[in-house]
Amino acid sequence: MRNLRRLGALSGVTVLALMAMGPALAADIVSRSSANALTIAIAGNGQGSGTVTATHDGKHESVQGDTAPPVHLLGGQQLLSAGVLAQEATASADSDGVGSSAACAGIAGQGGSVAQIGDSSCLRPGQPIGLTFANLDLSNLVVFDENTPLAPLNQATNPAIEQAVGPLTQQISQAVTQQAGNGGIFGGSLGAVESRCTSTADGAGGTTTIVDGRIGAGFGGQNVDLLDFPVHPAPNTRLVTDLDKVVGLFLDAVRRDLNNTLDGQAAPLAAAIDPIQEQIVDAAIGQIAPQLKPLEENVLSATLNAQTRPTVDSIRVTAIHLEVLPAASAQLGAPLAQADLANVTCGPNGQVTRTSQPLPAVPTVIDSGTEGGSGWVGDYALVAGALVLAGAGGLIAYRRFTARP
Amino acid sequence: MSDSTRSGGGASGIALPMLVLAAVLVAVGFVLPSGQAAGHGKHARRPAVALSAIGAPVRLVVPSVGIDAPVVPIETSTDGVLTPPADVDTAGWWQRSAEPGARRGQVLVTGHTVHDGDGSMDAMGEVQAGDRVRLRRGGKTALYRTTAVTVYSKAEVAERATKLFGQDRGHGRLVLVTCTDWNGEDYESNIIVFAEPVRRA
Repeated sequence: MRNLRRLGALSGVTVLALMAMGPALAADIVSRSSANALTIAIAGNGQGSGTVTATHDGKHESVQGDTAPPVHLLGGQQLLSAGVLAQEATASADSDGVGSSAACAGIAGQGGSVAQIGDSSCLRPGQPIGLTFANLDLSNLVVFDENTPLAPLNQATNPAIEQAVGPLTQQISQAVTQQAGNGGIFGGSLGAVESRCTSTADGAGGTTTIVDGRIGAGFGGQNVDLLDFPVHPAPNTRLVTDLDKVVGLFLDAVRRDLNNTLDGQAAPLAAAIDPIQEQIVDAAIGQIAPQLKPLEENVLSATLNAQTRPTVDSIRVTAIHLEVLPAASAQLGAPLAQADLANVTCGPNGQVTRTSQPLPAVPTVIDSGTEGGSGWVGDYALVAGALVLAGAGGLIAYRRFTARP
Repeated sequence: MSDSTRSGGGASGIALPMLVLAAVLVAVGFVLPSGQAAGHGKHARRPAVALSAIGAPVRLVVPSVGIDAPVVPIETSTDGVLTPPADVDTAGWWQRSAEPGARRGQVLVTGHTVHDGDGSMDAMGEVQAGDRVRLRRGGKTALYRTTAVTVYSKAEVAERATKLFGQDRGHGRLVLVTCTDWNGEDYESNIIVFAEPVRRA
């Protein structure tokens, strides 16, 4: 947790500092960009693919960072299983000293590759790559927890539970907690995800491309697609979590778990679950539906093509910003899991200040020798020669003319 | 016949004007006195020798070695390199040096030595102490008498640059510079001629 806070704080401070320092650095840096394929923070452990930064001081470009970090460097995480990471940044200045910058970052599945620089994209898609937020702890999100935004479900279910299951409520709660704690999985797949940005004197812009992207949830061996990503999402596209599916899947898993764990002795309870599920899904969800947005924020938050523009000539683009259980922020200080896929920044840029350099007090080198002359003497000689020849020719012609009888 | 006549008439049309032009030029050459001849005349006028700065010079003359070149202002690069004009026939006057005739600072003039010939200062190596040097602008002339001819390597020039070309010294002396010691690819040294102003009332 402390690490997560530190990571978030450090990233925020770094970005803000760079943006804020932009004008101050204008005298030294005329263009800048950065690219980061992936930054994740799960259960308090933050890590990422590193960041490639490019700057240009009007004379030279400086690029730092690994442009193609191997996925295996992202050890200790289960979000990405295999694939290709790409993060490219470039900064330049034209002959007038006006800066411009560009960046591209992304993730492609197995078999994908990094495209040639200068192509419209920096990645070629490969096989869909698995995204897994494994072993997600949903124990604090069960329907019986009064501290979660799902608490309204209790109002609908408590009487029914009390009446239907009576003394077995605790066992059901334990089963639900166990199911949620051990079997709940949020995950998905991506063929490729990529963000690009450019910043020139005309302004800054950015795009996101997502190929074969989706997010799903799995409980008790069953999976359901929650989010299908559009290929070219509009800036700051928020995806709505299909809570109806989540709750239904969740209760199906609970029912199977009860059947298994009670080894048939509690089989009759399954029948008791049905009306509960029916009430929950039909009644409670109906109450919650108008509050879909706050619920979304507390279960799974996904923003595609997230764009911010600190200045007119700068932009930050994140292809996919994921937060799982943002409600956990109340307890953890940050979402339980969050991931930023394909992050790029471009700008702000500037222009080289053409200050006239002072001339030396005295010359120290006098370069007054050359190998061959480029003066006009040779040209004059040629002209003179031509005149002499012309004169001689004329004289001969005159003599021939006057010698005629 | 008619063809032959036309051909002959065309040739004469070119030749006659050429001959007339040549005759005129020869006649003018005989009639007009040369500058040198004028200088030897009993009543020839001496050039006005400046008692004060004449401004940016436009011509350099070292009669003893045949140097006679136009002069234009030049400036150093930011890294201290002073390069004569690209036209190798023309010499350059460092525009932050003293103006000819000035009583303070040093007048720095440099011109190209060209390995294949035709440089404005190819003959600098033949200059001897005591030779006269003139810098002219309009009807004014600043007259100098050479005092020393030295050769410094490029490194020595850089090391002694302030002493050689500094404007806080020199009392108006003239410093002529060109290159020497061609090594097949480049010049390794500079010939530097120092000249003191000749002040005549």
